Amino acid sequence: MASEGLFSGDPSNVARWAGLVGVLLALAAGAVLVTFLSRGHGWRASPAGRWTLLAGIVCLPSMTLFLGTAVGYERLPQSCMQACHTMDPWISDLLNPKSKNLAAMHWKHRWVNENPCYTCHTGYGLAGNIRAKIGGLGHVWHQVTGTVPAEIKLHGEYPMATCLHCHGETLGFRKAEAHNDPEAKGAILSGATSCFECHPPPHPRKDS
Amino acid sequence: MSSSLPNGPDGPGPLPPSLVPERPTRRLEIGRSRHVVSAACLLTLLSVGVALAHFLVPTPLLFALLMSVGNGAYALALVLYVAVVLTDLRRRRVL
Repeated sequence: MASEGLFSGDPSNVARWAGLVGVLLALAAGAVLVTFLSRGHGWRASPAGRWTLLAGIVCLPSMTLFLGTAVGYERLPQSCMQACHTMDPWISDLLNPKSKNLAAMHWKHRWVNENPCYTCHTGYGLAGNIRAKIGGLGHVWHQVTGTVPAEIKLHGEYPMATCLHCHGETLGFRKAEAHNDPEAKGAILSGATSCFECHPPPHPRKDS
Repeated sequence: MSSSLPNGPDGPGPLPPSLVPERPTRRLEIGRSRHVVSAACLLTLLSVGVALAHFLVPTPLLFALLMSVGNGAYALALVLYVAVVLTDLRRRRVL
């Protein structure tokens, strides 16, 4: 049974083996690079030195980082937000069936089927993903330095286009009287009027 | 010295490579390439170190560091390495 467990195709077991291989590759890459750096310029310029450099910079580290990324994604919880204490209050509200906040309503009714944080907090398309990654670095900084603000604050204003991406063409949106006033409709569609002026806030305050 | 060199129909032939004086700019290029290669190695060591830390202590924070600092440093190292290789190939007139 132990051998079955050791060599099973279970993703967590594969991740454990991949992690072990990654450690060996990382150590090998480090040893190769230190060897290269400790040798003289004559040896570095020789064919042996050039092949060593190719292995040390291209072959071994690329496999190491690939395995690191794969293992990291496998080991992460379903939502990386749940892994940070910072997000506990908002995750609690999101999962609270009695909450009337917009995020909780979206999750409760599965209007957003999976990855609720990511779906509403990234712009659509490749540029949106890249901007979210860059913004995530700021979150890491706040988490590490303990400077997490008491209230969720977005960098800039929340783009109403994200809401309209899903809701803009729905029957419910088009039938709502407030959305049909020509002036109001134009302001909503252009993003000049925020959805949250009439609808409940998406999240509670951290200290509430 | 020139008497020992082979003469062509239009005068003395080209000097053998060992006797051709090295251009100062070439020496400068080689010296710069050495520094760039060392920088690429150090950046790769940094990224591999972050990856190793992530393998040993798999926390979300270290994974975030791997995906940002680790991958960023490695991408820069690869760019430097490719730049040095291309420079070397151009110097050898392969490209």
